[in-house]
Amino acid sequence: MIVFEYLLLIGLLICAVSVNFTRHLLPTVIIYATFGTMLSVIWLLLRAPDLAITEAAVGVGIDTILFLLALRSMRRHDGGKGGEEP
Amino acid sequence: MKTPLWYQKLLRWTEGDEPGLAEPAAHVENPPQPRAEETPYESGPSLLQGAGGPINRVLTKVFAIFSCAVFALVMLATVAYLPRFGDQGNAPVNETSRRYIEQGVQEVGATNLVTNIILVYRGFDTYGESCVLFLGATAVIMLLEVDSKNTTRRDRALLRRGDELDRITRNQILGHVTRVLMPVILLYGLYILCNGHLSPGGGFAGGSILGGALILCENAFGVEKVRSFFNHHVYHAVKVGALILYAILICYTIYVGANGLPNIMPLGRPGSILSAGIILPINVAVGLEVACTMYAFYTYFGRGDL
Repeated sequence: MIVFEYLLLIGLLICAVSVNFTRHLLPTVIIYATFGTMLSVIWLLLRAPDLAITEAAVGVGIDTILFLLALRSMRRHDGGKGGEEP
Repeated sequence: MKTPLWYQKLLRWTEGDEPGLAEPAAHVENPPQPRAEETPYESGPSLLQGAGGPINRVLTKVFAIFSCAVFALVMLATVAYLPRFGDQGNAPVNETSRRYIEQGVQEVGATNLVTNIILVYRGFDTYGESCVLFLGATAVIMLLEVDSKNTTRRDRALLRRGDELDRITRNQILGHVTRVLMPVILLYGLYILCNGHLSPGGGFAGGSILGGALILCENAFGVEKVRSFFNHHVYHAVKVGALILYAILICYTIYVGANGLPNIMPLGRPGSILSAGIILPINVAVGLEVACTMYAFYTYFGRGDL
């Protein structure tokens, strides 16, 4: 079990660092959702099930939907060219 | 490398190319284009990336790295000042947590200690969080609401046409799956909401599951179906009512506790569903508040109307 925990922690680090190197915004949102999923499993392993449920429901579910919607309405207002790195 | 199909679909959806809202935009000679020059969004990215030549760009990068490093150093220094984990010397922390663990169930009545702490011992903080949610939803409504004052007639026509197109091209599979799944999701959300004083969960988690169920319902059956039971009036009544109920309960508890008066809310037998005094009604109030806020965020970000 401790190996699994370390694997998840390494995954968290990889996600957190790789957000800085993505050029587009959609992969960033997907990586953020992955980060939240792994974090909620870690909360569960650290015996904090309250936090795990909240992280899974709010951090992964609702936040991802909101980010995608914000991305979409940004494109609509900007005519498709805003928000991207040059 | 070949990108998978679901990613391409998602990318097309975020860029507004999917048949949905943006399809009618293509029919009416691309309305976003002429507005693009006068929108204030133009100054945003250039301000962020350094408006001038390469020197400004380098300066921006240096400043970004510098501020990141300073922030990381401040955080690490703060961590260094924290007391060691499990140290015998840090008495005040140990006293408080021992009080919570040993007497929480007798004093408050909920077998879930986390709920005891966040809703009763630290209830005032949680009330502040609920107010933050309320303020956030209000700010989103102020910024993103689409009404007759801030849109042209053509925009509203586009929105109506998008709704119509949405109704025509609605996904049948999603509808049938949702019809099967919706009772299960609602039951799960209500269980987490009402069982928050006995098992992990509580108002925030259960409320966001209920809000997610509302969002799924809107996607599967369309906005008119949701409006038939959840319109502006219901939204405002539930939201304000839940916040006021929470305020009354928490004020009563603080008043009674500070003055040493007997508390008339029955604590009940620990472990049964009707126990723990104010925690169950507070959980329900927080859950309703959170569900309303989540659904309002979704609709106002998506279409600018409830």
